[in-house]
Amino acid sequence: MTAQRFESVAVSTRIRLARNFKDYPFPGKLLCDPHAEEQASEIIRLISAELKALDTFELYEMGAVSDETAAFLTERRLISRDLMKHRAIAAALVSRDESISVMINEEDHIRAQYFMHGFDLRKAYERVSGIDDVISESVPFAFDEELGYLTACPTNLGTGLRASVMLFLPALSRRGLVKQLLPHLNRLGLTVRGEFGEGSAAQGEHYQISNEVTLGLSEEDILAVVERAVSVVVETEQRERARMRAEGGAELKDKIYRSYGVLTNCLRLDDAELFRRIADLKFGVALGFFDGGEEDEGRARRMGELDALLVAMRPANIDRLRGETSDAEGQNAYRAEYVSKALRGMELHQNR
Amino acid sequence: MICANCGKDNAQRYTRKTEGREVTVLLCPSCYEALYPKQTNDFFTSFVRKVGGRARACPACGATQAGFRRTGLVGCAYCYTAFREELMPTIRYVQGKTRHEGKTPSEGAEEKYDFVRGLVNEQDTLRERLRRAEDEHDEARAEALRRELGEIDRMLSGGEGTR
Ligand SMILES: [Zn+2]
Ligand SMILES: [Zn+2]
Repeated sequence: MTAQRFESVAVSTRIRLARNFKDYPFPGKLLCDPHAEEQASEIIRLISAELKALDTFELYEMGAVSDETAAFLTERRLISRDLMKHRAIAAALVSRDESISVMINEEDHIRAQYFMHGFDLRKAYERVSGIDDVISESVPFAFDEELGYLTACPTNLGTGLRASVMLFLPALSRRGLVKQLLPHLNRLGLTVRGEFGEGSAAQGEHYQISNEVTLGLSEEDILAVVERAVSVVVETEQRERARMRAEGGAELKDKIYRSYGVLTNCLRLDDAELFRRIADLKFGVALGFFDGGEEDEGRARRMGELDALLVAMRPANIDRLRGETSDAEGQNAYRAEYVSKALRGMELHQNR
Repeated sequence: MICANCGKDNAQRYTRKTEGREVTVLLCPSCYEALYPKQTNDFFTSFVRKVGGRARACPACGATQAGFRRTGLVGCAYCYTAFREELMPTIRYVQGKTRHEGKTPSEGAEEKYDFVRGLVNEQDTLRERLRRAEDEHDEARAEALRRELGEIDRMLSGGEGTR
């Protein structure tokens, strides 16, 4: 299996490390402190100063950031919803290419994450561990010989490491087979969550697989478990795709081309429908329904472009693009026009 | 009003739906909370609640076991020492293992910490003074402050100069 075939299933990799300063109360408690803002500001300035050596970062102090900007960052997965719960003391540092984001004073003092397209847990870990090294040089972290890095919630103790891989599983989910995989993955200490819709995996057919256990396993072991599990799921998905292709797929092709028809011709388009139809298109690209004889590499790139379109068309991202806040009606009209133009520009030729 | 559960004289009237009927109960707030806990689907929080613990506060941050049971979060690093015994069953349950493997923090951070913290706080003061100098159009003073800030920047980034 070539790397590109892999990428049409394992879409992106995200690694997060949780760290805390030794001498400050954790953010949830810090919030109740009469000197919270002073202490928080020192934490923010210290981390900003340390990270300067690595890359150029944009600093967002959540207390000074508008709701629109916060929503924009959330949709791009650069901050979590929970960060805004600590608004008065929270901040985020985001690298220029958006691959690195460091949340400050979310549940822990530091939540550093590295995000990349494709599937490369080692590279992602190297990057995020590098951030950890730089801060760790001059910040004494909360650490315990027995329990490892100390975190506000015991579920993150030890390595503080969460390794997640986003999987696109249209074949398995259309055949209702994802459910069968879950118990196996859970037994390995992994969790699977449906993306773009609380628990309901139907939207977009994306699933995030990540490690549950953070203590008692080295970083290397955690990555190895996730890596192996992802490989098995990818193989299973590829086999199911091959079966669907082999079984003719006229109905499936019809459905996918219809989605293309809708997306290039409609005048109103809401978020949910876009997710569903783009999933159809991505599946079509992955199965070779669109690009006459094009190589795998081209397919992976196309799928990445379609993913980017999904992010760009989230509500707060649309407002940012237009430079104004608009209601759902206005957004639906804008989304329809934008997507139609973008898809025509991609020249997705049907491969009947 | 007398609480129907504990007999203390601070009960309130609560109306609830039980099996489709409206029922009124006379309970004090703490008994009400105990008898009708807010519905939570969070298995973890329910589990933590079962672990119990004494009414004791962390000497470093003042967090209590009750607070942990409510939120599932400890208050500070020292809580793990103060409540270790009480926290261990939870840790064992959610993690399986209880002995850390893997990366450890780099040595020597303690010594550098105060130095860097000093620089960062100095930076903050200088920036404030620079703002004032600029407001007052005191170009000479502003220039001197900018030079000082640049110097601190260089020291923070390990002498490689500013970006
Ligand atoms: Zn009572
Ligand atoms: Zn504490």
